[in-house]
Amino acid sequence: MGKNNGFGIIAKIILLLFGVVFFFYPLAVLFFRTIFLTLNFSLFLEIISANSHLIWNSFYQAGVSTFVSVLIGVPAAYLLVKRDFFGKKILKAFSYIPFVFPSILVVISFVIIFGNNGWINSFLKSSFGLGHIQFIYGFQGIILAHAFYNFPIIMHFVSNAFENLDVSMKEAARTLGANKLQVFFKITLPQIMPSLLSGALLVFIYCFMSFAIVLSFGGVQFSTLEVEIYKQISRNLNFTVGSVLALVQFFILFVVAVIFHYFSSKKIITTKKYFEKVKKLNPFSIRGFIEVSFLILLFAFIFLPLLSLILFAFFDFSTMQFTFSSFEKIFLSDQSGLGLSAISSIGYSLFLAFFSAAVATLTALIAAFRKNQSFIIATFVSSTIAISIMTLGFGYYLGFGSGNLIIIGFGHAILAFPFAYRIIKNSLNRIDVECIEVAHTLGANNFQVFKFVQLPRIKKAIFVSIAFSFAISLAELGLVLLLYDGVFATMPVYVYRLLSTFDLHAAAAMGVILISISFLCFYAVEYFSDFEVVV
Amino acid sequence: MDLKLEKISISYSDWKMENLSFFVKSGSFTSIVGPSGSGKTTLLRLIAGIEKQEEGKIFFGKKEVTLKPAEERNIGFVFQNDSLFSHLNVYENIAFGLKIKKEKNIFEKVKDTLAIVQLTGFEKRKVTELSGGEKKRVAIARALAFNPSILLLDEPLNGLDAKLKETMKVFLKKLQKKINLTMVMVTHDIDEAFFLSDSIIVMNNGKIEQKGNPIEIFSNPKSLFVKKFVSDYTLVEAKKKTKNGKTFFEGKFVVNAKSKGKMFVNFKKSNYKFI
Repeated sequence: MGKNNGFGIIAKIILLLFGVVFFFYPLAVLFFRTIFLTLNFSLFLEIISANSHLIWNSFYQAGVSTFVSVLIGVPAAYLLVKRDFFGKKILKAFSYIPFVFPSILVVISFVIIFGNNGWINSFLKSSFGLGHIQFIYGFQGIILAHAFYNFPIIMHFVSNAFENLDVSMKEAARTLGANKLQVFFKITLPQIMPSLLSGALLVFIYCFMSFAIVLSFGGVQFSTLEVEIYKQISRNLNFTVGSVLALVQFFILFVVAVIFHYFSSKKIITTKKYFEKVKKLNPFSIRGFIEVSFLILLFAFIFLPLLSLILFAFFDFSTMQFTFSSFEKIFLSDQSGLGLSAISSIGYSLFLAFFSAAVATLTALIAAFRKNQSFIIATFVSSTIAISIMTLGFGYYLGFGSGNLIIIGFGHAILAFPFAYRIIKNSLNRIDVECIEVAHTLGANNFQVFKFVQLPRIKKAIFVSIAFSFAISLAELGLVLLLYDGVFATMPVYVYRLLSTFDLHAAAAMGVILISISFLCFYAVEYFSDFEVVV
Repeated sequence: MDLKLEKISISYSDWKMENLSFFVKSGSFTSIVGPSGSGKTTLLRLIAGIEKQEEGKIFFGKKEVTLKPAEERNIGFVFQNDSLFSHLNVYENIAFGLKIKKEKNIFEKVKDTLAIVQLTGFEKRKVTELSGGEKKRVAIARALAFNPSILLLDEPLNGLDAKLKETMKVFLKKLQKKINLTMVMVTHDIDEAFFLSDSIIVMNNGKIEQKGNPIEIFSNPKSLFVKKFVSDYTLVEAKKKTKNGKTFFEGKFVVNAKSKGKMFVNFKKSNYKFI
């Protein structure tokens, strides 16, 4: 903001403290601690070679998940841009689900739908007398859940690229003698490739450090680095192995994040564009039939999980009646046998969400207003995307010891920071520089420019940023689970505990409350603005 | 190659073009002039085969191409916004059509074409790093490289600064004389059309208002619309004379004005037209 005024300096210090204390410091502690623990390098290598299958599992699982997400996401993006159909807006809005839908709820709903006694298996049993099919436990379950969770990211990146593609470029290729197939492979594909690759790399990063889904579906036979770090620290109390694995994972993800940033900076933005003609879906041709079928499956894939949660929360299948008994169970008495209180869970979650949303948005605002984008801010933003919960959590454990809710709140703020920053920065970038210069020539000082020109324009982005950070914190399971499990059971932790007692109805009830809060939060934002996810 | 359009009709929800016919002589430069919405770009896209007419026929020479898709018409098309392939460099852009058509000696052909548009040595450049005029010339080179039957230009001088516009105008004129190719250009600027064309088609609202050589259009506008279109201009006829061994042109320029004193008139070189 200002050059040397007090306001600017205070803002700078806040940002610096936030980044250093809650990100660089814990990571540095982790780093030096690992070096100290494995002073003889051979121990380091020994641990890596003993756990090399985990590294391979992480890569393999993330690679296949990404591939399947691409297979679903690209056609979805194509239809989103080129076709008009009922529910298009909903599909588009689904883009932000991966960032805010708690992964533990994906687990619950997949158990309800695809589990051994789930809907599909029950249907197969009652209709065809088939034994149950193993859908979710093991590798295939992880892939299925990851595909559901991450295809919207691919869809978002690729549909943006399709929209930005200059149609006259394709026409030019036609006049140069290229047929439709050649146009696709020589023009369209290379043009959307940077977006596709950066979407795919982001999905790869998320799948690589996926926690709740792998933990729940992987079981004993399939584990990854992220899950193993958690197990080593919280169950085996083997900090040496845990920290080596955390460090290895951090460096792998950092490299992938760097490649991601390379490709996302290569994304093509055309200024002059001729828009693609949007056609109505015509189900009476072969092509149209395939498209409609794909969309129906896609919508089922999207809505079944949500529907299953709501049904399990409100419906008693033995009496076939709507009931609030699941809610009574979690609120009125501790019949869940967890020794946890639902009310205090909601309280913890809300506190964390409000606290971290405020911190993330404030710091993102300060960072976004820095005029010269320093290298440190850029590194901070990129590495916060690639930091896994367990790496961060272990750093916190080593750095702060047994902390409190405030520390976790800062942790959640770190996780939400890259999103908050991009949302605000993008909105700020849209303000014409000349507008600001004009305001200065009209006599406005820096603060007045901020107050009267910039603030009104980014107000919406600030609300979106708060809602986003809020939802990210609400959905976050790993950090609390690792650091303060049993002391501060937030809503996702509560759901996770209910899952282990196989009380799906109660888990779904808590899940519905969680989603409702998130939904309300976004509804409030919708009310202020029609926002778009910017990643 | 001659170009003939016969009773072309096309309609959109709120706009239509009906029974439009015209003929362009082989090796000539024709400009289609008109305000936006007059249908000039649509016409060009119909010739290219990017857009499909509802009725009517299109002939290249004696061959009918009405049903042929764009990729089989062998036309060069220079798009208004260049539409260079941003993922390819200059060489790859120009070689694109040659490769698709599986031609031989692609390297030499690209080199020759680059020489024609005066961009020798630009092969390895990224198209995103070119200036406006360079981009335009690469777009022209790309459309020329494979020896098209006809070259279609959609507002090729649009968006260039005034100086560059003049340079490119002269460049296009020389180019056309050099390679003797049938060229059809769309423009909203009657100035450009006057200088460059052998023949001008003035369009308005999907109809041809007048067709003729530039002198006819300027000196004898047939409709109120054309009259308004050219009314800002004064056509001065100058005759060739020789005096003291020097050749020059002399003409008379009459202005009705009440103001006293001196008067200056500014003639642009690119507004001379020799017949």
